Amino acid sequence: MRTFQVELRHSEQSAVQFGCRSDQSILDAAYCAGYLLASTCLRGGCGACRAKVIVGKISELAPMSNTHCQDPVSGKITHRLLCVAAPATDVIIEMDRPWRTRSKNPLSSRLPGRLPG
Amino acid sequence: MGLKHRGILRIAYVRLGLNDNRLTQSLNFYRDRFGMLESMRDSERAYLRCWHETFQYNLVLEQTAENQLIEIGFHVRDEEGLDHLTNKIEVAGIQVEQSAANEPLNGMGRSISFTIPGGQRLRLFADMAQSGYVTGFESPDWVTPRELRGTAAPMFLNHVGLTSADPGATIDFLSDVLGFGLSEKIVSEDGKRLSGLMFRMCRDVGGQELAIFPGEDGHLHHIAFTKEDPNDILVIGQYLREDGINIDSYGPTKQSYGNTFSLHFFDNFGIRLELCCGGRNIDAHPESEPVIWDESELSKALSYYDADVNPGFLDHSL
Repeated sequence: MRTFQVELRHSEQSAVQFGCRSDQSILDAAYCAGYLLASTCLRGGCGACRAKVIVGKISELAPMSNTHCQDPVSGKITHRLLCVAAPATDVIIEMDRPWRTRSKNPLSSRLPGRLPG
Repeated sequence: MGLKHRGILRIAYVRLGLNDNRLTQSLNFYRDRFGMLESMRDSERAYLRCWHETFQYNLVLEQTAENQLIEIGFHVRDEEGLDHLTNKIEVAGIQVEQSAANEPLNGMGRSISFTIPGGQRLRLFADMAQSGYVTGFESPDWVTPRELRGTAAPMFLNHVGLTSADPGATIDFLSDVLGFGLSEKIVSEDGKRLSGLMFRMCRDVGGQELAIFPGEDGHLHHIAFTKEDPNDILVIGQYLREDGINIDSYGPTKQSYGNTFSLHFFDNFGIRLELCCGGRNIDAHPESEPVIWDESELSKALSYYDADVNPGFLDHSL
């Protein structure tokens, strides 16, 4: 098992990087790093977490819904579902949907003199 | 040995100042849509109560230049308790203002007011005029009065959420000087107290009368009212939406912190209101221990189903 670097990009956000093990979903690693990706079913079915792999390769931890991996016009497989995708190399990924940042200390950061975290 | 319920008995009312000409908008909301009863009206104020409240008011509205939380009122057992608390508060180095009966609010006996370390103003009184139950006291029908059906029709004022720059100091003052119990608290990784739920007596929906959250001093986070059960709250949520009222996200949820089922929404001045049911049944005996939440479990504490933290929910609303 290895840990690879994952970079997430989205047109409306600054790119973020974090490490992800080769047996861990990118969605889970993002959560641990403080980024909440859009997700619903967590089993490769709904397409909420669909994204394009721009650089590198991923491995599938479970089957992915073909419908949600396809380009709606051409029908070609263009997308991957990050809830069941693990990195097989360092990867750069273009997200369909923006992510949210998860604060690790949402209450403490409201006290005077504390840095937002 | 029985517990001596001396001093403060319970939360009684919230007094808001609103930039609202002749209180038209606020009465439209709180009386006509939220479903509180107008007990009294004078040239400056409207006095509203919940339908299950026997005392004359739970909410006092008055016209001011800026929207503001003016004070929170607490009912004290007797005059002796009022004197005893006056002394304790003064010994703690906090200035106490004495007010004669019917000053500044109608229907109230003499009172004292002071500012707590978090910057909010409290008023304590031992005597208030009673309106009695809307349903009457004789073999009553314990159902929402007909004229209020279709509104939120809260039963009681439940608790008030405040923000404080030093929640620990506010919690200490409420405990040590005013005699509140602490039913639950949230602590940071380094053990700092971030939030506390303070109560005086076990009630139908118990365990909190003041909820302290970290933030700027002097502000109001929310005002919570009691409803009977989650089903009631879900149905009312539909009425509120139908009426165009803005529901706060989470939406209806179980809040493990305080163990309520709650729905938060905003009045037409942006003040966050809560309808809640359930709550902890706290036995206020000397061995009572607070429930302690770690900040890392905040999502579990605030919204059990979706386990999410909405940072906007932590903002004060007035």
